[in-house]
Amino acid sequence: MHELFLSTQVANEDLQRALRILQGYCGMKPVTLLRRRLIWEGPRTRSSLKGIDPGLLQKQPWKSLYDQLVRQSYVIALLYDIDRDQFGQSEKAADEDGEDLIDCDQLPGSLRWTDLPDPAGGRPVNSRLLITIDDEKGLCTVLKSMNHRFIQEMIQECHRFVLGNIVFDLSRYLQLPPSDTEPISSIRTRLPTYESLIPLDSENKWILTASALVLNGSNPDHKQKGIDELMTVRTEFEGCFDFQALDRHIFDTRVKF
Amino acid sequence: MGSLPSDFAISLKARPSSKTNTNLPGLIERINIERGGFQNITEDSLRREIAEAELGNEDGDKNGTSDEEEEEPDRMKELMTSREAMLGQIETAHQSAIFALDFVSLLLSKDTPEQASLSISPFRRELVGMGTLGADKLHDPRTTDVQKQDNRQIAKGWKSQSLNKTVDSILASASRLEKEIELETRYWQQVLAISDNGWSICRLPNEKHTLGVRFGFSEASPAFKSRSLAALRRNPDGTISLHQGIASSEPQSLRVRIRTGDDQTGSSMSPQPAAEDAPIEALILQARNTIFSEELWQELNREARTMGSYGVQSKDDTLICPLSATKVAVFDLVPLGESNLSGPDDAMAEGVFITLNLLLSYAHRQNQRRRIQPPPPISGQKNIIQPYNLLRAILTRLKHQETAGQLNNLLSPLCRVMETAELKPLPTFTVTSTPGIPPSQYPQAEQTMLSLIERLETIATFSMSETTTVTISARTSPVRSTFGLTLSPDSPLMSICPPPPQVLTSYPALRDYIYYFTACAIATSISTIPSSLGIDDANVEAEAGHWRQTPHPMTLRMILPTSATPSKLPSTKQLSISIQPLASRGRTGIRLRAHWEWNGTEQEGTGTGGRKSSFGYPVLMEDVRKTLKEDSEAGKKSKRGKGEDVYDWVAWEKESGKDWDDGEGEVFRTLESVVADSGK
Repeated sequence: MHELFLSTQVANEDLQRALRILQGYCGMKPVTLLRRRLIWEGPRTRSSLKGIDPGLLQKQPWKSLYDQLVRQSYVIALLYDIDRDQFGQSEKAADEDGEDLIDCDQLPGSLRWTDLPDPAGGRPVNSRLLITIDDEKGLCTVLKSMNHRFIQEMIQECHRFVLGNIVFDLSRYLQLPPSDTEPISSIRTRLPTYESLIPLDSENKWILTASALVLNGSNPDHKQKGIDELMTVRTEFEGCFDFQALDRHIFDTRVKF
Repeated sequence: MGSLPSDFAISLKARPSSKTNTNLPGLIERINIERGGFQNITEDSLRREIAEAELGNEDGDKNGTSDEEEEEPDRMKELMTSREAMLGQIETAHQSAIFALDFVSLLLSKDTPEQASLSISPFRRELVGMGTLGADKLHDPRTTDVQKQDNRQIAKGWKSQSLNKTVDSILASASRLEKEIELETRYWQQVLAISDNGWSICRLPNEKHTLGVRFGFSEASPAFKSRSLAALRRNPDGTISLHQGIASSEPQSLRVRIRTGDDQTGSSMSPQPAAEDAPIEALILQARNTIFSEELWQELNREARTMGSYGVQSKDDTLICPLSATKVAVFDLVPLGESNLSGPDDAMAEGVFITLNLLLSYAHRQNQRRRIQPPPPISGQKNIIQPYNLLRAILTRLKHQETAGQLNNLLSPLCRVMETAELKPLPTFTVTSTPGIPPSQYPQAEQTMLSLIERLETIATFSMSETTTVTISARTSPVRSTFGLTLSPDSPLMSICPPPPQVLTSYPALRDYIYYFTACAIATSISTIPSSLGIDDANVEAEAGHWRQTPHPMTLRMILPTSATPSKLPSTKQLSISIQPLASRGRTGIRLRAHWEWNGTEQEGTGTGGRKSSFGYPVLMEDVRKTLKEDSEAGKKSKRGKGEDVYDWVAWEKESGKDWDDGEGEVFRTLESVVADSGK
């Protein structure tokens, strides 16, 4: 699958205004999602990349992922949907030890792998290969077995709008505050309160992405259709949001060593 | 006289004397220069100034006389000054004369250049050039004084007329502006009133300066969304009016009529159209209802094309849809205000109409749910929107209700029949509809809709005794209901008449099974000896007098004790229980029949006439009575010998319990007594 996308920034003060504009444009109320993003880094070798456990290779999305991971080591994100009230449970569950611990392997999560975006080549949008594997349990163990290392965790707060084939995603990324109870590079079992989360970006900006997915990236007609839709979005929002195709190296997910 | 050197301060104008006309602009100019404007001048101040000036002059005169003694020593000086002045003036005169000469020469230079060149000064000639000034003789203007006076009057008249006109036009535009403001205020008040009532107002995409109201539905199909904007324009009197554009049509509404056979028995009401001068809200509402009805009509037609197998037809401009075995619904789109005949099925027609509206709204909600989801990736697949579930849902619901009624009608007379036969234990039945539980995150309205149209299931339980319970679960689709039967596992009937494992698809099949099952159950309850025991001589005596089961579950056999009969052979009697449907004079019911006869070779030819026990074939009461009558008349035809007879218990549908009010109840004997009789 290819993802065609354009991005822009929205300041925190303008958030409500941006939400209202998008709400009117798409004719729907935003779907608010909170996700944990677990970032895993691939093995730092150039050769003998193992790829995926052969047992999983039967299913299609894993097979395409295997093809990519065998050539090159990447940074992969695991996404877990969470509720707002799952935050701050460490205070509620202070007395009860061992309960309410969140084990990511038990929860269904999504694996999201993106490649370096294709070079611009006359296309006015960013375009990159994308593989998502949704609703799987035990992803952490799978990645561990593939010699991937857990690097860090972020919370993504996202407002999503849909119009036709375009998905508008207004997100910001928050860091978890350093915790006393759990070591740094382990996956948290308890989440701190929502208010204690620190924005990843110093100015507390939100990133607005307009994206369209194309099933078969090599089909020029479909790709052109996606590009046309994104261009329509761009012209319609001129003066309001400045959608850009950013430099592709910002989205580089290859492991460098 | 183009460019004079600047240090000649020459004014060619004559010195103004007091005799010149006091021309107003010059006077005004001079006053302005002198006093700096008119602001500080009043009559009194002017009079005061004049008085002071006169005083000053008198003072000046007085000052003149006192100076005469001092004149003598100054005469020398005065003489010199005068001499200077005189020389100056002579010089000035000389200059003036030279200028005059130059002027005339220049003038003449055009016509007589040689003569002029003699008299013009060389300096002038170089500066200006010869022949640069021309003169012509003109006639005197012939205007006389009278004419000039006239002209002046006319000019004054024009001026005053123009001033008046200016004033008038300013007044007119002021009043027009005021009127505009008033109209515009009224327009905006009305627009705000509409907006406050919840209608969404926006600019028209074609004419950016006109407001429009969006009265359509945001989830309607695209053809209708484009027609859902109407312009709000201002009438000359300030009121607002709705302009729907070219594609608009007259107000319409869907009409549902119910037909039974060939007669129309019911119709839904169509509302009256709003009057021309109705408030704008009423017109907007009417427009919205019209577009909703039009969309409903279009979706119904779309769905009807896929429902031909359910008997839905499209004829002329109407849709014909069979609702049940007897009633047919006719749908069409009619303009408002048509009067309708009313009939007994009006409530049903109105109900169908309301249901269709609700279902379309629900379909809109589902559309919204679908479009909010992240879309699938762009691929060559076109997603075809399925027709909405409108008629299908109605037919399913009606079928479901019909099924529940059928189950009720099946089990209730059955239980009553057995009640009248005083069967012990008394059987009971329950019929419950179990709506599915929709997911709780849906809002209340959607949950209600879902529970009404999804997973329509009825569960009926029929217990003959505590151990024997049949559960019928009926699931409904628009065409038919399917019945699944389960029997409680520890019932003795499980081995005798187990329910069919596959799902039954017709009501008669279900009915047959239930009758069969009940008869078996009754027979089993009467008999005390299972059929598995073989008949052997050792048991004969022990068994005598008791009914035993046979391989045919509804028939029991009894071996009579030898003491009761003269012959040595043991004689067997056969008792069969059967339940059949009954139809008579428009009523339908159930008949439980106990039929006993002698079994074996000596009883040939008996009992065939009186037994009409074919399965599922409704036995007419008249036939039964006729047979009995024949029997009693003929006496021999049925050859019912002594000890054979038939006894029927009857219960009709739609009768409740034992009501003796009209004195027509029948008294039935109990089963036990009948069985006891049969054993003799």
